[in-house]
Amino acid sequence: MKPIRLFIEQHAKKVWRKWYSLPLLLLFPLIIIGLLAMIAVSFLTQEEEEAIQIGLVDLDESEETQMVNELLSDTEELGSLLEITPMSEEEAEEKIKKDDITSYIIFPEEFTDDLYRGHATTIPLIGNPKQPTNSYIVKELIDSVSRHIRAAQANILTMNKYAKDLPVTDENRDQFLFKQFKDLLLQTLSRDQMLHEKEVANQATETPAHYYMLAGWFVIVTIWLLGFYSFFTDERDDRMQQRMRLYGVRDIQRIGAKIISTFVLSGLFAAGGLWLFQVFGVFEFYPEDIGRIFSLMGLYSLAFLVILALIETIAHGAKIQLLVQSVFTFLVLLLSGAIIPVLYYPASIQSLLPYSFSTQAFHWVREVVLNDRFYAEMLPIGMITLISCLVLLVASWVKERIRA
Amino acid sequence: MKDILMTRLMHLKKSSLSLFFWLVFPILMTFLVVYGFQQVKEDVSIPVGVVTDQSSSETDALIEDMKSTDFIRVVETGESSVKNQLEKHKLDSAFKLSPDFTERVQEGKHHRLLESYRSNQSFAYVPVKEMVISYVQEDFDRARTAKVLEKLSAKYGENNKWTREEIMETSKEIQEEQDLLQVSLSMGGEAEDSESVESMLDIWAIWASFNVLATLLLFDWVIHERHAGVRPRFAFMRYSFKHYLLLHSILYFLLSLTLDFIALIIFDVVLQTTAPIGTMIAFQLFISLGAFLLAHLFKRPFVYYMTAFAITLVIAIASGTILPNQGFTHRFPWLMKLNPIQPFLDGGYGNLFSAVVVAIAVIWYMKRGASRVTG
Repeated sequence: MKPIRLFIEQHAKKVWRKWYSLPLLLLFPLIIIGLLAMIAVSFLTQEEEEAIQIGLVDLDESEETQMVNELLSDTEELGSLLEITPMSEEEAEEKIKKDDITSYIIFPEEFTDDLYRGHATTIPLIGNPKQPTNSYIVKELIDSVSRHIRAAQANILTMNKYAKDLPVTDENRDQFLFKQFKDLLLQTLSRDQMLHEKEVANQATETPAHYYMLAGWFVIVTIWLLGFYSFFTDERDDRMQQRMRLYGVRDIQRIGAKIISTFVLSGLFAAGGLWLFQVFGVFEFYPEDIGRIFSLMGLYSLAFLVILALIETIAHGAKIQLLVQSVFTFLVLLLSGAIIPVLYYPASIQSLLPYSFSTQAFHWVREVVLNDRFYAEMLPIGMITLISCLVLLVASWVKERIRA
Repeated sequence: MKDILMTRLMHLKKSSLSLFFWLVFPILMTFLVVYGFQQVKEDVSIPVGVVTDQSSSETDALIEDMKSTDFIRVVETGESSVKNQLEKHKLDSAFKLSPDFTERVQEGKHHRLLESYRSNQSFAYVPVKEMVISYVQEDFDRARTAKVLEKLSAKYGENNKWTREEIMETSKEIQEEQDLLQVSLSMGGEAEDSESVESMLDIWAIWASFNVLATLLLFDWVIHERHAGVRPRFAFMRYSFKHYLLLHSILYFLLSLTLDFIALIIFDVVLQTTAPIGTMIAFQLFISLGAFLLAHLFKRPFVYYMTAFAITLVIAIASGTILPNQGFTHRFPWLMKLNPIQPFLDGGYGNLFSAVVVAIAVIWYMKRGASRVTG
């Protein structure tokens, strides 16, 4: 125990001496999260506020395309998401270059004729390379419109085929088909009526904003753990290590001290973060909640730190060690559901999630904080923590054996 | 130059494996990310609940259609549990067929065929809704066609000339056979396959981010050698310490550049994407110079490595490698000017960052160092 105490004292001294690097370590994840949030917000508001600008180039210039032209330019059919403006091809190319429009649609020459004659045609959609995501959104929307057109067309052709078997004059049949076409078109335009939308009211606190605030805290605490762990990592040259070994200091003692110091320091700051949530009235904590959150996050942090230590024990060289630890942290955060909610993950990944300690921890913290649950399942995550501790002990022991 | 090469080779002998790893690291990681993304993208699934009280050919066809959609996982469930599952956020959204769905479709009644449930966390609701509506609409139109034809035949005194199923089947066949209208998407002239992952990810942004990390980590020799015991002896050597460092960094730059060209060839062959060579050279030159100068600020390699990882993370996020950030960088032009990989992504040669790096390099060179003895 004595060496561990010595190491921890040394860590405390290091914090004292290098206090100026602490704000940097603390702020770094905040900057990262802030940057990500800014990107996400600007991404979302862009879609809500400004409609996606689309050009429409009509090379066919038939009556039908001109009608569609007018219909598309002033209809609310596609919602306020799109704004379609007719223009010439040169104009459209120019505007793509200037980044003024997201993409433009071309009605090719002979477009209407081809459709009437039953020749297959393609509507080219030219996307703006600077706005790939929006171009795909446009593609999806145009696709769903053309799916409606295809279905309507197939039904018209069906009616035509069967009506020919009946003693109907050609003129009457044409009139009948035209009326059906108009009906189908109207129904397509009013298709939202077939759906009655209801919003299920969740617990008042479980809004996306609350979700992502808690998730942000979770991510920041995790990055702090990695940051402080690295902060306490001391490169000692071989001779120094040799001397320490001669004094009977074992690797596991050095690593254990590092885990304890990191655990305490990031625990303090994590609790500070929760306190800030309480002060600003974001979340309301009951005393029992705090106990549960502390146990959950404690087990989670411990498991995370022990695996970082395991990587340090196995990896050869500081660069590889940091690389593997960073990739591991990224995967842990990805699986936790704090970045993307876990329900969107593929089934193959979902079946692994019960074994992921970060998923378990974040799930139960969320249940306790956001859904006011008075219960948290600690056994699985506790087991994972215990097992990783054992693995670390064995690995460290084996490593010293090999060296000796 | 020959003796510089010899010294470097002696240094490298000890760490050739590590050197090789960090040189191929950007290529390796880019492939890992691209193929990982491909795997996950293929089976992304949004859990969508469906509630139905009855089972008829109409409802079964709709549920079959939904199940055949790639990105949706249909969960058939009862009405009582659907709200509970939505509140717990186990479902993204849910759709309830109206109790007399079949009859109303057959009668051609359009209004309120479905009820949809969403929560305030249904991120995928809008595309799922559009998809469900388009399927219902298709089935509905077919049923309506059958009904209209029934009426028509009745009008001409030929009752029950065709069955409903026959008509609906014909309509389906015609739609499948005559796939007349297609939409093609192309970006900036060349046609693209919208299904391919390559067009969704910015491969060069990923590669450039990993290349920044690899270059930073490769230049750790500057720290090791600035604090090596041999340094005082440079006073008696042919090269000043500054020239020694400079010549060696040129070696490292050329080594990285070789691997960049290999990346260019491999990505062109395997991923069908290419980048201009000139901007690539400029990019590698400026980040190598930047890494070289940054390493001068550190005494301990480990702290330098931590900084390298942190810097890479910020750069990767700011240039949209992790989240697509179109529109974002355009609002903060200063961010683009300071981002080392921005000129490479835009096809340019330099920006404010490059200018700053060159300026600091000149100052570093002009400053009289303690070890600058010979000329």
